[in-house]
Amino acid sequence: MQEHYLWQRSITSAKGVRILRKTKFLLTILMTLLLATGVGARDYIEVWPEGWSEVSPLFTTSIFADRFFVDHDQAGTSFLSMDGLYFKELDLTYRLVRDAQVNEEVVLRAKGELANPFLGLDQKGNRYVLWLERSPEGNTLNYSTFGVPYTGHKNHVFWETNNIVQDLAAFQVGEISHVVWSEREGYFQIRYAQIDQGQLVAMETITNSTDLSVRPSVIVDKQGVVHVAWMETTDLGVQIQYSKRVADRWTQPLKIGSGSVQDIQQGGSIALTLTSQGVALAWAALPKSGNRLFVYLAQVSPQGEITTPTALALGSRARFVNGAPQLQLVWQGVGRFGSEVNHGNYEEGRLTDVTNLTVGRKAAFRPEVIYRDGHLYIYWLQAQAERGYEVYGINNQFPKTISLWRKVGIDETAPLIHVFFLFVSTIMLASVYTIMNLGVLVVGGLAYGLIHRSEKYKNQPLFYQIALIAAILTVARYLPIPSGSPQFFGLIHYGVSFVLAIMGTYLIMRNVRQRGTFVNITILFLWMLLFQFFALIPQNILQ
Amino acid sequence: MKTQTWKTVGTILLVFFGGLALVFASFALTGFPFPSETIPNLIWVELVLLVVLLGIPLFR
Repeated sequence: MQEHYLWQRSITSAKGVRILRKTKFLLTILMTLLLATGVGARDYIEVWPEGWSEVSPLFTTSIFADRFFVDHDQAGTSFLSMDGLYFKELDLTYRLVRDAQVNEEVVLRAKGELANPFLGLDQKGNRYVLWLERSPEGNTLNYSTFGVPYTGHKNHVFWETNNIVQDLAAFQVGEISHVVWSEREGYFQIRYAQIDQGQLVAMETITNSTDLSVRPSVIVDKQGVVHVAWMETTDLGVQIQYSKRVADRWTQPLKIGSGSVQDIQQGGSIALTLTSQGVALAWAALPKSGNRLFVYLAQVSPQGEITTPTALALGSRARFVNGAPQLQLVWQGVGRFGSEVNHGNYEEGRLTDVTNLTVGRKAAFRPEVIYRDGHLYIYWLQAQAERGYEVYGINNQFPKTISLWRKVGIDETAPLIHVFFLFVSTIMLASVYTIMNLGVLVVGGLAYGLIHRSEKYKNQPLFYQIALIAAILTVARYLPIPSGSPQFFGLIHYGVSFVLAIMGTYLIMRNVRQRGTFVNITILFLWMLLFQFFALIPQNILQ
Repeated sequence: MKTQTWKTVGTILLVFFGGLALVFASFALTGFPFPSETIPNLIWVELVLLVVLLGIPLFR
């Protein structure tokens, strides 16, 4: 008997060793496969915007100016920025970029307290530069012009004053520069100047208000009508106002909508563009029931009819894509890791095809855009690890090839290890979310138990029972019960997760012959776990 | 019994990995989804689905 027992045990041990060896062998193969695919995957993936190029760094600048300027002509892409590390010692720098290389770099004004750079180009290839300069002796508005290739320039002061001046903006039409700014003479008023080949030919004051008129923007249409919009800070808040110059006279300002002090403080301005319906304006403001800036858009017809401002997207610093056949916007949006740069098309009162152009975890801000040969070239600032800020650019002319792995959010350098990591982390997180939904499971389970008392429902097939449990649980989540849900990733992914959880629960439970409370509880938990697992996948990829 | 256990483990793995593959396929076909605000009318869609499911046995 004893011998028989020992013999039996030795057989069992031998079997155990074989199973262990088999498991070890399988694990070794799995680990070799995983490790052979790469040294290691990152714990998040940069989801690249499809149809867009690689992001290229261009040059280092500062953030002291509210914006940098970019324009394009046959000579290349021209940039005007204020560079430096101290706001009283900034260099006004012009750069000509060709094939992502800086071909010309000229410091037009060195070591000054400078602000509001503007760069305009004419059809002959001339460059027109305007900026504001402050000094203890007074404040000046400056003008400079030069050609390509650069052979030299001379700076002119076209307006000198002891008044506070700020927010210079301009628009170039041929050799004429249309300039607007805000000047404090008693109260802040909006002023307008016209400079023809360096000569001041007109100087006018647009506003006559006891409120603060600041942040003007200007655009000129094909008929030569000058359109100006600005922000007026009143006791009741900030208003966006608009006026145009008809027969050398400024029309009565029209109120377009509400602005925001927050946007003024952050250096925001009003973007202007010409459309078939007149002039479109985009700016940032706080919605009535919110405390975060949204991009708003309104249009003014040539007859002065104003459309109701529409909140388009969370963000600020909107720029229109001037010259594009369709109304398009680029703006500084709010993303998971801070500010990001977004692009969208404006159609029938809303933005469509909204794309985040900035990938990764580095905040990107102050976008500028040019429309060139039917394509978009978008530039923005990103902070450097050392110090300073770098201008980066992306375009949709030379799209980056995206592998299938990258397309689905998996690191192409180590796909298997990333999938394995994603699987493990998602299943762990799904378990946590399932526990967070215990209340929903209890309420849903009770409701299902009540329905199940009826024979009509009790005798239904398993697939129906699972679908019913899924529907009850999704509805129960809206009840005031403590619960947790993954981020919403669109209706398609939600639907896919819902259906996959039902199918998965059915596949696992289809061979269970017993039907009772325990099986029903298992179905409830299993469906919830699978639903959370599938719903969490994109969230875990982006984390 | 042992075969049944392996079958169950296989089914569970198939459900998780197969589901993962199908989710990836949906990303490949429709583009990678980005976080968005929940659709306010979604609750009505889910309520309608529940009502439809509850109604099926009554009309069978």
